[in-house]
Amino acid sequence: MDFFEHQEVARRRTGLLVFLFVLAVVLIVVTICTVVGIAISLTNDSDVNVDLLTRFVGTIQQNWFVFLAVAGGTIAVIFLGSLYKVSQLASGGQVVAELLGGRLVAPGGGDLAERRLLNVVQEMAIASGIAVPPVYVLENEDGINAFAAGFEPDSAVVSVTRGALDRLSRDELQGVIGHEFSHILNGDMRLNVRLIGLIHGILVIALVGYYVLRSLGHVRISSNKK
Amino acid sequence: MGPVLIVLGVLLAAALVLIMFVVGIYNRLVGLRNRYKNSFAQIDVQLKRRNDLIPNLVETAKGYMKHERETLEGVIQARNQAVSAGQRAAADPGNADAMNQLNGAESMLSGALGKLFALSEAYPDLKANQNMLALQEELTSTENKIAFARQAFNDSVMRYNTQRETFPAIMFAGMLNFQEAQLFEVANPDEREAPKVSF
Repeated sequence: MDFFEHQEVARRRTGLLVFLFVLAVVLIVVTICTVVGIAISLTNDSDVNVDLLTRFVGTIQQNWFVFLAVAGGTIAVIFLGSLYKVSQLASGGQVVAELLGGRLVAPGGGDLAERRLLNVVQEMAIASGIAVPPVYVLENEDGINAFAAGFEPDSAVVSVTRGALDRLSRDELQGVIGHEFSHILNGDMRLNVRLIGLIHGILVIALVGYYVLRSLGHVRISSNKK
Repeated sequence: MGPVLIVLGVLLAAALVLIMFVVGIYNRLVGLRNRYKNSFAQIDVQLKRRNDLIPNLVETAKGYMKHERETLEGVIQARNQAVSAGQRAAADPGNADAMNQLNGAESMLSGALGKLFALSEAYPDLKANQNMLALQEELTSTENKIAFARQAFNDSVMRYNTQRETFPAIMFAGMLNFQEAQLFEVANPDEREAPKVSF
């Protein structure tokens, strides 16, 4: 399998994972509606002799407007929650780099290691056909690490740790920077921001439930926040 | 009169759709062709940069490598030949012969530089010189940039050729004067070997 075939396989896998993610969100909405339906069926004591399933179906048929509202409300909560998170994260890569304590490498100067880093970033920019992004160094990090941040390739930044700068050979640095550029080029950052937003939207539902239960009378709830 | 008018109307609409279709193909191919021409110009930018860096390098090395005049002069000569080959190719971009001569001169320069760097390993004072280190880094980077610019050029040629050769563009490519683009390939098989250095 050659280079381009590897690319296609990776893209197909990503597409499948995104599809499964969306499916999970849909199933969450369906689950909530089912729970509501069961609750309504249980409280609906019109015909106690009929089994739960028939009552459930009957409830859906009679109160379909309620289900529409519940489904719509759930989707709205998820959507608004994710929109909030996305707008927080989409403010550009520079914000992320500076939050993590990164220092911008000035385009002209710097010592030999920084000149080498800038040259390597320029080489990768030529190879990938995109503009040269600003480069940040995380001075306080001794380990070897790197990341690319930003919503669009135009607002992307690349960052490496001090440890990476000092310990990697030129070829190794080139490999790491090339890897980060592939993230920028393939829109991985945009995909990640959107997925984080969706997860946040789902978490909002849990938060709503938590507050509802709390307000129902000071119930002690243990939450595992990881 | 009625049905004839309808038939004429349908034919006219079909002709318009076909024209718009062909215009779309033409514009796409023009865009891709300009992109690969731009990629080619980027290679030249890096080649010129390398030519400009070399005199400084030789001056720095001369002070330390007093007994290596041959190698140093070889580098200067190769560099000057590359500069003139570049000027000839720029004056006549379509000429395949000028292009081949340019490629030959450039690879000879790469070989001469490789020899110089390998030799400088034996001169620790030169190796430690800050100026030399900075120059070496710039030249290494420029060599890499030349290679990547050629790679990017080949990528854009591939995209243009693929678009041109697929159906339905291939039906109109000839009449719209879109030729197949040439990839950058190593013409001389000897160039594939790394330059051998012996002390």
